[in-house]
Amino acid sequence: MRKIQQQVKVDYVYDAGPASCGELIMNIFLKMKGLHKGEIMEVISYDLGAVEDVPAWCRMQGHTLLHTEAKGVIQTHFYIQKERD
Amino acid sequence: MTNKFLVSLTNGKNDTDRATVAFVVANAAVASGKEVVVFLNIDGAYLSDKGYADDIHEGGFAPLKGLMDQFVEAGGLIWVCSPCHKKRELSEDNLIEGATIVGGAKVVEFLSEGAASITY
Repeated sequence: MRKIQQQVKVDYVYDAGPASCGELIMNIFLKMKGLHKGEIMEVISYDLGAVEDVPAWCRMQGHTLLHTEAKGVIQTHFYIQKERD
Repeated sequence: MTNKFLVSLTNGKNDTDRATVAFVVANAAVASGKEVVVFLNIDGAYLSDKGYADDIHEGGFAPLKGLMDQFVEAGGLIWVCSPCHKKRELSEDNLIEGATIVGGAKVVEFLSEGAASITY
């Protein structure tokens, strides 16, 4: 576990590597299934499309995107809280 | 009636007729007050690369670049399929004005909101 913004604990870190589009979303979906409601996953993505895709997926799935952090041009960290089992 | 309209464009120079008509229809939709997205995927992804469309002028239509510029100027959105863009080794630094690289979830969300869609 580590903290972001002095308040949020990360329960699971998933480095998605070069996955993009449907592959990335399916991987996040499957990883999220292993978490309990309320837990937070940090997703590290190197896909430019993820900046639009991950928030859209969170909206559709009802999970909360707590924070998005860009690190350089291509690396983005997403902090997603699971809202339902 | 939904106000969202998606034009999925899968062709570039391999079929300039389809590429052109897609933007003609997209322009008609945006001019009709719709929230319009042109989704460039498969070979349509090439159209997101600056300069690629400059020499496409299908007989009987306005030049494609002009149609694309008009579309963006009128408030239309251009989304580019991320893996299609990557596969074709296009550079994100050379994206045309108004284009955004997205993945499937973004398109699914838009369609789920009731967007009508047409494919070229």
